[in-house]
Amino acid sequence: MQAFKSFFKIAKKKAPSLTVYAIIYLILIVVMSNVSMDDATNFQMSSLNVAVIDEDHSTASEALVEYLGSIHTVEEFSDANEEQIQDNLYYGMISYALIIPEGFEEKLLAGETENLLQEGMSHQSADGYYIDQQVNAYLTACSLYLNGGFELKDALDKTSDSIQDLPEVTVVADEASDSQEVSSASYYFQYLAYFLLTILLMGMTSVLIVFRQEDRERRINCSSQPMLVRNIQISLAAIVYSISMWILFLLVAFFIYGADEILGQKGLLCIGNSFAFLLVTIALTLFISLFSPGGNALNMITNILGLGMSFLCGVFVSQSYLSQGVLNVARFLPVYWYVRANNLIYGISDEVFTRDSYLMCIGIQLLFAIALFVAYLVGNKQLKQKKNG
Amino acid sequence: MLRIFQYSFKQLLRNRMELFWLLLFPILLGSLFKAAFGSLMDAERFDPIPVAIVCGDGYAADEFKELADILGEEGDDQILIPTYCDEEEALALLNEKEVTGIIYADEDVTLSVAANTDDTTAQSTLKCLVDQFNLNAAAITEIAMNSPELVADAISSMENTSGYTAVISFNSKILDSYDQYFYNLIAMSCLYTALSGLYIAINNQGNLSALGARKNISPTHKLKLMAGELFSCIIFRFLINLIGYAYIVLVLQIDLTTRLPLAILTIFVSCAAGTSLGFCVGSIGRASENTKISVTIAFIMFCCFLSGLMVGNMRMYVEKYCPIINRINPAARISDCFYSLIAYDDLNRYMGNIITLLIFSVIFCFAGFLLTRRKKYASL
Repeated sequence: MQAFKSFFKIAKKKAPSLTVYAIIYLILIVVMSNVSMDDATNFQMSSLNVAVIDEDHSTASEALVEYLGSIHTVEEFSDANEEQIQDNLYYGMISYALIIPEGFEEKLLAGETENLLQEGMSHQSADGYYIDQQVNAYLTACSLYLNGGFELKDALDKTSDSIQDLPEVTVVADEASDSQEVSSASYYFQYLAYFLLTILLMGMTSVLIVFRQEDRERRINCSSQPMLVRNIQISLAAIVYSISMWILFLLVAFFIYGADEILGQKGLLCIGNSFAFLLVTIALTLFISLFSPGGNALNMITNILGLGMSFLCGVFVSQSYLSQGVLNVARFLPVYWYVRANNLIYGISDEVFTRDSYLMCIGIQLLFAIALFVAYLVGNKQLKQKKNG
Repeated sequence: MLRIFQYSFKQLLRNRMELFWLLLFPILLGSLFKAAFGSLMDAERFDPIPVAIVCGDGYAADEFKELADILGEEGDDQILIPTYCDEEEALALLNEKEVTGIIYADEDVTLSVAANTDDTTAQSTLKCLVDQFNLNAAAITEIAMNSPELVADAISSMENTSGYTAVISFNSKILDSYDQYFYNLIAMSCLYTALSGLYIAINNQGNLSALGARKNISPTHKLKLMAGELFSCIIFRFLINLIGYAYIVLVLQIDLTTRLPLAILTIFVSCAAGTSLGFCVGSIGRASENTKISVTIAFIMFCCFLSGLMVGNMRMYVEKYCPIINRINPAARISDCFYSLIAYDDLNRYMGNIITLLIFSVIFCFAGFLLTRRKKYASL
C-alpha cells in the first residue's frame, strides 16, 4: 500500500491549503443555502418586495400603501433615494416601485385619474405587471365608490371590506403530488454539487499531480509494482479522502438542519444521490490530474468546470427556468442528473418523485463515473507509452 | 528596467499551457453564461396567460365573457388566452398544465388553480383579474342599492379610465439583470491575475524559491526588478482579459460598451488591483507556495461570491445588512464600475469605484515592497 500511504503523506504536507478551501467553501454553502428564498408550492398570492415613495401622505395614499402591505412586503423609501431604488430593481431585490406624487388624493377626488401614479419595474417583468394590476384594481374600485356618491373614507372602507369578502381560490391538486413547503436543505444539497466539484478539483488535484512531476514519475516507474495496482491504490486513497470531505459537508448539514431532516426519507435519498455524484467527481478529478495542470491553469479549469456546469445544469438557477435547448445539452453532463434527482426528491421544478426516475438519475451518474474512471486508466497508460516512446 | 520588462513578458508569453487556459477561461465561461441566461430573460417577461373559462347561466357570466374577450384580443396588450369549455374538459386541461387556471363565471366569478407549479405569478395575476371583476361588481351593486341614479355615471367613468399608473424608468436605459453575471465574470478573471502577482513575490524571495535565491545574487536593484515584472504582468493579463472582454462584447453581444474607453480602463485598473493583491499575499510570511495560492484563490472566490457571481442578488443582501463590505470588496467594486457606467449618466459613482481600486493597488504594492525589501539571508 505504498502509493496509498504516500497519497496521505502528501495530503498532510498540503494540509494548510486544503483546510483553507474546506473552511471557505463550508462558509459559502451555508450562506448560500440560507439566502435562497423558500418557494411555496401551494397557491397563495405571490408576496413580492415593493418599494413605495409616498409624497402625498394623505388618507387615500396611506390606505393604498396599507393595501399593498397586506399582500406584499412594502419598504418605504424617501424620495431622495431614487438611485437606491434603481439598484434594487436591477438586482431583483424589489419587483416594483411605486411613487405616489403630491396631490394624489385631490386628483382622485376630482376624478382626474389619468397617470395618477408613477411606477417603476424591471423591463417587461411579469411580477411588475401583476402588482400594477393590483394597484389599478384597488383604485378602480375606489373611484367607483367615489363616483357612486360615497365619501372618501367610506369609499376606502367599502373597498377594503369587499377585498375581505372576495371568494377564495380553489386549489386542484394532482393525485401524484403532495404539496408542502420546500425546505432549505434542498438548496444545501443543490449547491453541494458545485462545492464538491470545486473543493475536490482544487484540493485533491494538487495532491495527485505530485505523482506526475516528471522526475518523480520516472522514479516511481522504476518500481516493481505494476502500474494498475499503483493506480488503483491512488484511486482508493482519492476515494477515502473524498469521502471524508463529503462526510464533513454532511455533518455540517446535520448540524444545521437536524436529524429529522437529514436522516428522514428525503434526506437519505439526498445522501444517496450526493454519494453517486461524489463518485463522478472523484473520477473526474483523477482524469483532470492526468494533465497535471499548474496553479493558474488548474484554477481556470476548476472554475470553468464548476461554474460552467453549475449554471448550465441548474445548480444556481432552477432547472425550470432554463430553456429546453440548454437542458438538452445539459443532459450530457453529470451535474444535470444530480440536480434532477434533487428536484425529484423535493418536488422542485414541477418534478414528480417516482422510484424509477430517481434510480435512473443515480444510474446515469454511476455510468458517468465509470466512463471517466476508465478514461483515467486508459489515458494514464497512453500518456506513459507516449513518454516512453 | 525595460529589459526586465521585456524578458518577463516573453517568459509569460512562452508558458503555453497557462496562456491557453487564461484565454479560454472568460471565453468558455462567458459562452456558458450566455447559453444558460439567454433564455432566462424571456422566462421573466410577461406572456399572455392561458386560461379555461367555464360559463354558467348566472348574471356574471356574460359580463365576464365580454371582459375576457377584450383581454384575449391578440396584440401587444393581450393578457389572456381564453378557452371556453365545460368543467370536465377544463380540469383535464389544468392537469396537463395546458392552462394556468380555470375561471368559473356564474353568479359570481371564482378561480381554480393547480397545486405545485412554479409559475405562481401567473396564478396570482389571474386571481387579481378575477378579484378586480368581483370588486367592481360589488361596488356597482352597492351603489345601485344606495343611489341607483349614479350607477350609469360610475360605470361610464370606470370605462373611460385607461389606467391609474404611468410606467416611468429610473433611468433611460433598459438593463438586462443577467448582465451582472458578466460583470462579475470579468471581475473574477481580472482578480485572478493575483496568482501571477503571487509568483512574482515568491520568485523574488531567496528563502521561498530557488529562482528567488538566484535573483537575489544579481546586483540589480530589487525594486526595479520587481516593478518591471509586476508591470509586465499587469500589461500581459490586461491584454488577455481584453481579448476575453472583446469576445463577450462582440461575439456574445453583451452590451458592455457604454463609454468604451472607461470600460477598458476598468479592466486595466482591475488587473493592477489583482496583481498587487497577489503580490502582497505572496510577500507575507514564509508559508508555502501552496498555502498562499489557496488563501488567494479562496479570498477571490469569496469576494466574487459576495458580489453576486453565484447568487445574482447577493450584492444587494450585503448592501442591506453590511454595506461596508461592498465598499471594500474589490470584486463588487469592479462589477459596480461596469454597472454604473451603463446605468448612470454622471461618473461620480464610477470614479469612486476606480479610485478605490487604485488605492487598493497602491496599498498592496507598497505593503509588498515593504515586506520584501532589504532582506538578507545568512544561509539558504
